[in-house]
Amino acid sequence: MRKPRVLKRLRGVVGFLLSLAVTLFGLVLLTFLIGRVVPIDPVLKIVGEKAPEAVYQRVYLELGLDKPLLVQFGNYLSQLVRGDFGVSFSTTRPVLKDLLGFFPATLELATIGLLIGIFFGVPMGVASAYWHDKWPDHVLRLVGLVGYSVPIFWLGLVALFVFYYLLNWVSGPGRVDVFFQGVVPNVTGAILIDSLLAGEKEIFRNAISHMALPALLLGYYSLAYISRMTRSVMLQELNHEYVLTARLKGAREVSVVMYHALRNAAIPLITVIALSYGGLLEGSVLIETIFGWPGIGNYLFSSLLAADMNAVLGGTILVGTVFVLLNTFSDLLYRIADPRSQDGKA
Amino acid sequence: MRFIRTTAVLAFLALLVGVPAFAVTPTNTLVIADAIDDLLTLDPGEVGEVAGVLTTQQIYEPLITFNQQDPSEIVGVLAESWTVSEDGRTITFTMRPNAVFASGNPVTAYDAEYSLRRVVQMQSRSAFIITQFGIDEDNVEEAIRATDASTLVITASDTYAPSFLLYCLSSYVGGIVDSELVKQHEVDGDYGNAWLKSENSAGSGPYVLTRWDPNQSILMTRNENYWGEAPGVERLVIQHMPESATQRLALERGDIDIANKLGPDDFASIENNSDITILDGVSGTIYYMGLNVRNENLAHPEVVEALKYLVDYEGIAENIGRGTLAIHQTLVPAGFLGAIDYTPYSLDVKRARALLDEAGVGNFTLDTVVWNVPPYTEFAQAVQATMAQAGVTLNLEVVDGGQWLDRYRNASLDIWVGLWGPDYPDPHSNAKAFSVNAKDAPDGSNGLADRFGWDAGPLSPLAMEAVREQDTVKRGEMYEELQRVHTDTSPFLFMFQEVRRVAIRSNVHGLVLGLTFADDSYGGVTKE
Amino acid sequence: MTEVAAAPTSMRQARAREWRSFVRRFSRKPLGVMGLVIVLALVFCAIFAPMLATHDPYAISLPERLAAPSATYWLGADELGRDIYSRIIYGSRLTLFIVVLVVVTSAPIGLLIGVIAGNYGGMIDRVFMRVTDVFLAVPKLLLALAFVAALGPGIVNAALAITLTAWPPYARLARAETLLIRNTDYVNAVRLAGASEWRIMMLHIVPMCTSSVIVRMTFDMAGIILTAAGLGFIGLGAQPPLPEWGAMISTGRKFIFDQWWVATAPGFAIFIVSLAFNLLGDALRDLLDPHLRQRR
Repeated sequence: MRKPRVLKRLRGVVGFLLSLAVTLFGLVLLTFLIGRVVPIDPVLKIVGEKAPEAVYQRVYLELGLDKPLLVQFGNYLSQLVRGDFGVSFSTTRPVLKDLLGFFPATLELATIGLLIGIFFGVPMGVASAYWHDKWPDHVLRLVGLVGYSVPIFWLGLVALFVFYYLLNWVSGPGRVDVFFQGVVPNVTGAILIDSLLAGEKEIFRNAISHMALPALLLGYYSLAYISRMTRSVMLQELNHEYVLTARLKGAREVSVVMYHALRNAAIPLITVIALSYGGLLEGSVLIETIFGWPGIGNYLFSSLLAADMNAVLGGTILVGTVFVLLNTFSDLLYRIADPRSQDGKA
Repeated sequence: MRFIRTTAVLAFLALLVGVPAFAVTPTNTLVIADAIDDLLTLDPGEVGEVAGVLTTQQIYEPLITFNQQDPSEIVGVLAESWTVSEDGRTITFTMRPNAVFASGNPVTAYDAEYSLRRVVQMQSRSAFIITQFGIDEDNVEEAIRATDASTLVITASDTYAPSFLLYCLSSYVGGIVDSELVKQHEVDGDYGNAWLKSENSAGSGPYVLTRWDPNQSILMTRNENYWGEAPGVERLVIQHMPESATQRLALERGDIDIANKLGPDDFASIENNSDITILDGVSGTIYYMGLNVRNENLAHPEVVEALKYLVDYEGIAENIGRGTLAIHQTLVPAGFLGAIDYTPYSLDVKRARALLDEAGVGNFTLDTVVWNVPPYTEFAQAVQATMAQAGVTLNLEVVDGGQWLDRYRNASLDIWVGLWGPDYPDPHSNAKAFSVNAKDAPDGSNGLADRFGWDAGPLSPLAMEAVREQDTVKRGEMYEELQRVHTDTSPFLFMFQEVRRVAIRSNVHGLVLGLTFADDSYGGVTKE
Repeated sequence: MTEVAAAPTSMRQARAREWRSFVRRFSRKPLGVMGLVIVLALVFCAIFAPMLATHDPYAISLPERLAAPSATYWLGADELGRDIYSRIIYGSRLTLFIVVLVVVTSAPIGLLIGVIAGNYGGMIDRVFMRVTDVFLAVPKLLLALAFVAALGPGIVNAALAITLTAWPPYARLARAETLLIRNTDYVNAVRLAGASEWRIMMLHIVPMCTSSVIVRMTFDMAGIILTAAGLGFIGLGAQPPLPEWGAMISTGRKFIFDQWWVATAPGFAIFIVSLAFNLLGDALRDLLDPHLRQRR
């Protein structure tokens, strides 16, 4: 009864695309409903409170708000299928253009933050698990937990005060100094890459100095989560028979931990990391506000408060898709590595 | 492992230390920190929000403006002179012959005609400033017309105080655009709105728009063709920095030159910093509470009066305002024609309770929504505490700005804690809003009086009479009379007038603070 | 399950023995004990707030605005001259209320959805899991924000908004556990004995998932406190004059450089409490996680 492999794989791909489509449709529907229940009047946001009734009515009709909800939703979908995200009225630009501007800023910050988190978090977690319930474990866990327990907006303000104002080690809010803004051509949207492409070392260094604080904060935050999950996964691995066997065979401790246990822990760890990456890519409204960072979190936040539904929907679809893709990616890894979970496919 | 980590930490710290942060901005660039996320458009015909007006003020110029030090003096900008007809309905402007746009095109009466007409024809949200003279789409070609390249004639449908019309033309919608340029970019009869909205400018002011990155910055560059005195700095950057705390750090570090959004408490601590100068300006912004007289308790005039005694005006101004609030209890802001110093109310719980008893109401509850930004939340909580002393419970709901406006428009609240920034420095801007009912307004629009369910009675026609009065002295007296009655009887609880304070780096000179809400002028600024 | 001492003679005795062993092992975890002590202290503060507070947390005194910490105002006064110490004490009630409300709503919802999806499989599973995915994929703050904006800000709505974003992980967890349990021999035995699916789920599957859900819950509590604080920070949490810690930091941030105590005191309170929940969660996790238990 075994089907040819190719066919099976094809079915898998189609099934995956189908479920992705269904999820995204649900996402659009949910976001659309969110936009409808939020009692903020987009017309008022556009015309201001002093405009006379006639102007209000004109804009109301222009936005198509007089049409039934289903029609509005249908219109948006058919527009979306054509690859048109519509225009954001709060930035007056096409939503796609906005997203291409705001998302790379978040992507850049989140990626660097995540790298910091992995770089420090994984070793911390491994050490914690290795010295389980001994003092290094307690110390490392406390260090990590602090990052997980401190309100990030408070830490951000304090960090700005100390490292920017008092010590002057880093630059203040924003992505680059004002006189560097718009100097390098926007190729990828990531200022670090763009400045290198343009050969502007000065701007590159300036951008690093602007990014250092928010990236370190996000890094600390994800470090806390990653080190904690690493510890937990490693504890499980270190308790397995094979570790005991390896030790009995006289393998060096470093090799037992790093080679045997960590390798086996890698797959669940990747899931953890992918999920926290997904979380970071939503953008942190609080960090973005404090550091004047033009990221997707603030864009979504201010668009929602302006009831700028094209922008909210576009942003949600982008962030949601990235999240779903990351999720699927980690699921796939899991399935490849762990045949037991095969029967639990969705 | 520990070794690796230590090295990594050290390497990272070394990297940070090795990157020196710039201490000051270059002298050819002026950096202004503000919140620009409310910005919706840069078309001078439809701007209205703070960041938009602040930007277009640097790019576009009106026909006339007023002296910031003495608003009663009106001076020509793009118009050289003007005459008012006998009946006060028609004003004839003679254009300045040497004025040119950034494009090099001369500024003519045809440009002015096009610019002012398009505001009406686009049905822009800011058009009310012009349409209130009875100018609408049907008669605009008659009412606003250029008779030749240097003469513009504007005719109102009725007689108005000439200064009123002039003030309106000096406001943000009065900016003149380069009609030749804009007409080239008209799409589907949009009067060039799409072109002007976010990426281009066509003005005659000291700066031209270079780039607007939403939620990030607005960059303006010196207009090399500027017909007036050349601006002192080459580039103007309005940087989005919504947090007052970060603005202050950046100002003290010298990363910004002007901090527009500092809180009252920030000034106290930077006063001693010799690198920073604090400018005090006049602002027409008034903080008030509107009482909805549709509420059965608020329908009693005694209750309205009682509430006026339940605000700790002195305490709030002194402790919360800290020099940024002046007690002001009438509708016309100080500095405007007809302004009076009339402050009959202060905190008096006993008297308030007596008035409440007189009205025969027991303890009652009022609902209000408050904008989730300072100083509103602080006002509201302070008022909540003093009202509670007289047995009036104030339910606060703190919401975002969008919802706040929404609730206000729907008039479903008992109390609204709000502010009113006049659009032009003429008393009518406020008199109309607070005391004219729709039946007396020439454009039939709803003012605040209607919104709070208040019939202003004889005050409504009086306000309209005042705006038609040709004699300025007499007109001022009319407003004085109107204000006293209004303060005593209206359901508006005027509390404070804002005292604008702006902190700048000491090497910045020549900043002129505006009078309405966003008309600071950076054209004359120089940096050492 | 682990101890092989003299066989217990009754169910109750077995439970008691297991509980004693649990307490003993827990007491060997200093950080966990510390966490528990702090959480108990929080509960204590919440219950006895009127006795512990030195001032009326709502009494405004404008002349005392932003007063520094002193003998009268132990932690200083806030922007309206209210005693910060007393507000923090009263604020513990709100924090506890939010945490409990979120936990008792999100965990059962997630558990139920996960167990149903996992047990029935097929179409029900697919639909339920797609819905879960959708909720996971929507930016969390956006979802919470929209909910609060729609129903109006306030402490209950803020808690429900957090629930809305917090249940999907429980659903996934419960489903994964259910998939492992539903075909075990003893569940099949019950099934063969003619028990209804509903009965099987409620009596046999749900209890088996509970321990991992509880572990996850204590992990989440810290996150709940911080999310609530975040909502308070952007003005959508508790309404003034309620002394919610996040809202207190939010107003205090304007004075963070000169009157640092206004934002720092509630910030520290949030830190201590969420740290305590984290430590407690870690300890419980170490003790309850079946993978780790085998080895002890």
